[in-house]
Amino acid sequence: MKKSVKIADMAKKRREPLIHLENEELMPLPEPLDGPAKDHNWTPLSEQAREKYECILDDTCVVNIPRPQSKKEEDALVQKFLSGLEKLFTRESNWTFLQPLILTMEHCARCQTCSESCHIFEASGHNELYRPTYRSEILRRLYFKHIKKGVFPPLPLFIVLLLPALRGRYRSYGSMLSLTTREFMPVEEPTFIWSMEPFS
Amino acid sequence: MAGVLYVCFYACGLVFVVACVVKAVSYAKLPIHLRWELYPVPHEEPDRVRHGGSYFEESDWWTKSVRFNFLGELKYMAAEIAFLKALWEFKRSLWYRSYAFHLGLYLIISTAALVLLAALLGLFAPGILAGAAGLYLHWIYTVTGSAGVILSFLGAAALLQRRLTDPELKNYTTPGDLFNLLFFMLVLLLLAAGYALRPAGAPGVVAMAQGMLTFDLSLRIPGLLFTGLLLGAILTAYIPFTHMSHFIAKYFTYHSIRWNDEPNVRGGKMEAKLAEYLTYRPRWAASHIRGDGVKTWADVATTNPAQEPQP
Repeated sequence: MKKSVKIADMAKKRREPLIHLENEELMPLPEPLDGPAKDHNWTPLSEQAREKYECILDDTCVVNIPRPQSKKEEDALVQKFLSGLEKLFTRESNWTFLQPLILTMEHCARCQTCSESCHIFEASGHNELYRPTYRSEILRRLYFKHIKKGVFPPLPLFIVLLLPALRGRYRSYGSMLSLTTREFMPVEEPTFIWSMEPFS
Repeated sequence: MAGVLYVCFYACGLVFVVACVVKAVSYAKLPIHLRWELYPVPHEEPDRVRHGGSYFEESDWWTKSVRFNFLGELKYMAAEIAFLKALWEFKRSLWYRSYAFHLGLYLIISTAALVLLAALLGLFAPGILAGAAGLYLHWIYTVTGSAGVILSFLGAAALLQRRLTDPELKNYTTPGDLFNLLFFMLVLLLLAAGYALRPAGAPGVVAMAQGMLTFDLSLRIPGLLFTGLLLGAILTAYIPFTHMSHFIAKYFTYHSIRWNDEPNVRGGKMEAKLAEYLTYRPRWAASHIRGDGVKTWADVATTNPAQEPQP
């Protein structure tokens, strides 16, 4: 059953995948797969896999990250992820993709034009999980939270001219001091995405 | 009052220019990346563009001189900049709103340039400004300014409505996106209302521009218009620090990412840069790299770290 998936759903504490695909929902295919019944159904993820690995996207488990068994293991995994995220934005470790990565992180207008050019999203029957901006938007928010984390550059100007008017209004999004170049992001952003590939 | 506005205008203008330059330079200094190899690129020969080819398909291409079709690239860029062609082709439902907003901004920028021209004429060649040319100029910037403010405001309102109601956009909209659109709408509204409702005897746009150029502190600017101009200046300074400075990013997205088909020739600049990158020391811990801070990219590429004994 197709359900709407939100960005914040990635951060929910649960053991079941975000979505389960049904053949009926997919883009119609030509012969010999010209009907949902002509292809195998998607096998739901086994209970054992759910318990053993961090697999919360769909019914596949490509990167078998063992599920942490304690807070200590969880923290270690989070640190590995953040360490990898940091390396992703350095010349030394990622000169091969740095320019396109930074440009898309900092300037995506989130107009969803790319979605209609994405064959995975189209073939999935417009399933939100496979929208090209879904996981990249989560990565973008982590980038601004953990990598940029800089003070909004013209801050003194804003403090003098705007802050009194805005005081209190955006308190829930963090103080103006934590503004990054991606403007203010909601605080409910996930702090860690278990099922993203570890970069470390 | 007028002095505060002038200082703010110059300071915000400076912040805008410096921030844009810093951003552009920082993007330009990013390393050469692996290419997407998407063809055709518009600066190819027209016959190759037609079949989606590249000069790389010629035998011994490295021995032949490459002709850069500047006109082809210019045509593509002009259509993209002036008409947002890619959005028209790939997301037409959003184009109407986005184009109204952007066209309005173009008209407002043109108006600012025309008003500045009129102000300079008034200071250095008052005879011209008092004549027919001055009258034409007045009508042109009145039309472009009015149309620009109306189009931008309606475009921003329509984009805001779409962001709030279309589930496809709503899921990805941050408070920052809403703030940006509302900020634009507020500034445009204040400017329009402040100018339309200014009392008799209040300075016009050319007088204000002249006041700014000469730092004339005797000018009395009505409060509503003053607020609109002040917030407009702040908005200008704010833009380079947000994703709205995509006019800078777009240049690099097209020229460095989508269209860069420069060959890597022996002894060339690209070869030197790539040689430098190969001396970088990756720190990826994965078994196929095992970056230990000592091993370089060249080492990783010429060995099989996965088969090396673990330390």
